[in-house]
Amino acid sequence: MTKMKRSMTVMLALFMVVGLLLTGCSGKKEEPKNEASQADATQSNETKSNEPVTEEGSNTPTEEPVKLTWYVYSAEPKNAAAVLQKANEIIQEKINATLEFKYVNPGDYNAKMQLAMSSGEEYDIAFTASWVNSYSENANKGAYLALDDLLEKFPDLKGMLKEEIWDGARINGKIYGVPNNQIMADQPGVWLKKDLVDKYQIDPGSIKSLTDFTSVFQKIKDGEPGVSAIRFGIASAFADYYSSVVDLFAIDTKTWKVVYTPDQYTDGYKLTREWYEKGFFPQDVATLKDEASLIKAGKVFSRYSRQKPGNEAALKATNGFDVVSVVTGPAVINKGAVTSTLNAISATSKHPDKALELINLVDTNKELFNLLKFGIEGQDYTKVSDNRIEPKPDSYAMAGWMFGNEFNSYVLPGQDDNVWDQTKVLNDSAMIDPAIGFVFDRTPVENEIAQLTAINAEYLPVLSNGLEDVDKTLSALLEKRKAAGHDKVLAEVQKQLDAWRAAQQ
Amino acid sequence: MKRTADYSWSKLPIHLFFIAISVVFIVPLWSIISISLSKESDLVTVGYRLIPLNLDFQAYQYIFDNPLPILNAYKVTSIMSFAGTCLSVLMISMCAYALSRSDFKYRSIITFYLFFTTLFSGGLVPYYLLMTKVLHLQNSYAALIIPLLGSVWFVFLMRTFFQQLPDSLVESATLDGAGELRIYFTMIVPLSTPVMATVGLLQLLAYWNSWYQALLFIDKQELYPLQYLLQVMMSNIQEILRNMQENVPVDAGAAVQIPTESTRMAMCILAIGPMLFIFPFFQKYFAKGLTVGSVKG
Amino acid sequence: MLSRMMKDFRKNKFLLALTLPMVIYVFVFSYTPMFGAIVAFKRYQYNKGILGSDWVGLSNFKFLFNSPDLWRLVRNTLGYNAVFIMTSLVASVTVALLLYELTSRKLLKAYQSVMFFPHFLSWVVVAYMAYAFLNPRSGMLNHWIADIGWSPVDWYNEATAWMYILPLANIWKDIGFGAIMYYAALLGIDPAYFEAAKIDGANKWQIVRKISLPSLYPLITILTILAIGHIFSADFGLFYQLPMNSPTLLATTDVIDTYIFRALTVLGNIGMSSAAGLTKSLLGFLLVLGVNAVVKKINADNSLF
Repeated sequence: MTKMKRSMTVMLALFMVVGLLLTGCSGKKEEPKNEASQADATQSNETKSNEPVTEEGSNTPTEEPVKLTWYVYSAEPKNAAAVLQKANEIIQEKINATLEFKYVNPGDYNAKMQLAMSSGEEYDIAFTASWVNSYSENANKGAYLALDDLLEKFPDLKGMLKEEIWDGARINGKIYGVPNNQIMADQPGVWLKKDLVDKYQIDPGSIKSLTDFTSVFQKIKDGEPGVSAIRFGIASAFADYYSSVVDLFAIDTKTWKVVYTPDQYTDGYKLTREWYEKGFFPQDVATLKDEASLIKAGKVFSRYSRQKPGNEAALKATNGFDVVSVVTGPAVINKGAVTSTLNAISATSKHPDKALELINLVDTNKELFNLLKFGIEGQDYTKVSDNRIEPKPDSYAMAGWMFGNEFNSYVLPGQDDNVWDQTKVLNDSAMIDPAIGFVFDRTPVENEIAQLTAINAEYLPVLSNGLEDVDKTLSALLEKRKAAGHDKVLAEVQKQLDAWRAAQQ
Repeated sequence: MKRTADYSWSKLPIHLFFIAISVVFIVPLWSIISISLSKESDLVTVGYRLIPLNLDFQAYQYIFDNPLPILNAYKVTSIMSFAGTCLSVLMISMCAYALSRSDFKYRSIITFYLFFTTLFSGGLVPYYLLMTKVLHLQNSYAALIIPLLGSVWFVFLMRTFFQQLPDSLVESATLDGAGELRIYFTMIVPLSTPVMATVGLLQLLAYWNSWYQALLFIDKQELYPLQYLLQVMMSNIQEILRNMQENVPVDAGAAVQIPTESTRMAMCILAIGPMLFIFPFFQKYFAKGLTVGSVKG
Repeated sequence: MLSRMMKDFRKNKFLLALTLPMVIYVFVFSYTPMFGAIVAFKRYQYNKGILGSDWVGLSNFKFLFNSPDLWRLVRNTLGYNAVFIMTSLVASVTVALLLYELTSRKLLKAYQSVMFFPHFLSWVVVAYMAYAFLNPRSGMLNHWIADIGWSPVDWYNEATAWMYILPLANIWKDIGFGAIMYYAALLGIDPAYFEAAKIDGANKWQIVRKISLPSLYPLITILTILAIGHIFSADFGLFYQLPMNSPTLLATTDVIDTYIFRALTVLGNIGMSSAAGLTKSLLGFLLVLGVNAVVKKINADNSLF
């Protein structure tokens, strides 16, 4: 025993020495760098905005081209080197810079970006979104550069999106990322398998409420054994629109009161429970991992689907059968839709102005965008007409929504010639969420949110798939949430919302 | 060893026990093989079966569509596993031997020093900083090998084995004037082949199955180990499928008919296949009779 | 004092040299990054780094300790780990003893290989395999159950069943690994002991009890002590992948690690996750100190340090 005690004291002593050494060394090493990068971050907004913008093509050829790195959420596509080389000819000529894409496999993107950011790696641009490499978290934690002033130098880029959309990209009042211009409106819907719709003479136009689905699904259930009427619950379909904020809290934009959404969807949950008991869902509704093969095999009659122009053609291509869509809610442009794909400039970037210039170029130069999206003509695709192409199998392809302005994209087989015009019409006609500019700062309630998130993950799938009695589940959920700080978060959201509203007026 | 004992009837219950257990282990293995050879649409429509309804090699074709990266990944994994295992067995066993000696003065403190790290760690970020910013090991074999090299757990396992060796052995050797290093290499190592083989095998497996270091430190595909490459392929498939269902625009060219379930199982078979051949090689050293007496005599 | 230290050093320098590679390795790759643990007490900011971020005291620990599910998490984590430690110990030792009885090398190798193969599999693959048997739509087990005329069970909504499925899966995956270690330990026993016992007329059971088992005690003790250190951590793959993250099973499948994952997957908060990790380590560490002290009282040779 004494021996052990002694060894522990020695260990502790050793420990402290090591600790001191470490903090000493690394402190010295890191501090100047931090100051520098912080200074950089604040300065770049002020001083750099005064620098003259290099006009396209007017750069002096003697200057070394700036090397820019851009993290993208994609595995390396085929022929990537050749495509990038060709793209760099354009980029170097226009803005005297070269681009290097850093391809990160989708499954690893969160982990890789977190390490890149926490190790202070110098990179210029990164793909970020609300659903991966969290835009708001990273901006909050100082990973990105505020672009407000810098953006003023690129009127084309700034004018590409409506002011409200830029507001949607604001975190704590500042813009930290450029949203990719694509479909912004978010509109819920459901697709139905067309052959069965015809067989049972279902009129999709007559479905105007959630209860209207019940008789439709009953027909499928009775007539088609082995086919699930619907993939999973759609409790919020046809419900009023609420602007969701954080956790399960949303804003009722008519009254500007914060609401707890499960209260609003109770009827939907009850109907879902009824559907579950009637056997409308696949038996493994909550655990099913590989839905694609089930759908492709024709074992599912309907499924939730976000509405957009060309939707039915796209679904036909992926599923292999015709579908009819039922729209179940209004088209809305909200914060979630705006932050679904953005590109941000790193706080560690040495050339933030060049990086934004590059984003500007990719968003405004049709040739460059299509080169980066579809590759090289002849090698990766054949041109059918002026704006229509046919991709070759096993060739270069990258998702356009990840890095640029989709309205400049060529159209693909199966897409309407004017698919992007239709998209624009939808974007312009969509309702803009009145609370789009409001950002909740979760810092004061971080611990509560972590607990609530864990609790929701347990109860929401049960509610939205009708796995258990609704009243019982709802009260169990609320009881647990209260214990975890439900009321505190609710009050905090309302407080911040009121403050934001006061500032708006 | 007498061979006649093989068929002794008294062992029959033991054999029956093991045969029963083996069934529990073989059926799942068999089902993995079976699923990997099944048609993807059959898996959905008729469910999983022990014998595929229609034999189909689509999953393997899909994986070997581009065989060069896979072959290269086998190479990377082999180099990393072989080098890593040799180095780590040497390092672990030397340390374990010293710690097993009751007359080693610093035994207690070093044991504690090692043990402490099995519970406490500084987390990923400082480790990543150390490996990439201080040691600049990214994109090298070293980055694949080092993280698994010094397993403290195995040090303690081996130490326990070495403690079983009689003290008299070392004492007599010391009296003969043999140095510690010589005692270790000429007496301890030969006497400990079963444990060396055990730790070697377990370390080899740990290396063979490892992928996390690759995720952290490797950007270049030439240095992807097998497990990581397979994982990347699988996650790409899932990403494509997810996008298709969530109606995120999928660019054409992404194959529509990708086998998922059968591919996952086929990858598993490809990863564990070579190990099933290497395993018997190690078993050779799990032999009785390599004991103190046989060396002394 | 100093001269005694020098003398000790000289006497032990060769053995010390043998430990040196490991000692240096652990220092560089385990101790140097350890300063990062302070992030548990900070609000981490990317642009400020670990050292520059603001101190927030114990705030990061709250999400774990204030959780309304804390009792469930602790009960499941400790309960399952205790069951796992015991069952895999008993099973591995039993199998090792039985393997040792076998004389046919061929069959011995075959049994070993078969039992060892699950160790090659990741939990993801095991989870999909289990799913092939258990899922309510096309699972083989339900087909068989239906064939005998019983009604199929929706396993992924049957929480109590998982109290048995999880330990079984754990044994299934671990037994080959454990058995090989204990088998290797049995091989280290001098056969002279067995011969002597046989001559004295001891039966099989007596030999096992008096010779085989006692010679395994040191290994059993060490492995158990090491396992107890991790009793607050759970194998994430086993508890998350195998039940397919089914929400209705959480009563019997939720452990500390799955809770941390659920709570932080959205936030990705490094401070909170290291706070949770530090808590688990500290509790495990205290337990090990206690257990080690007890073992030391009973038999000093078997203790860890």
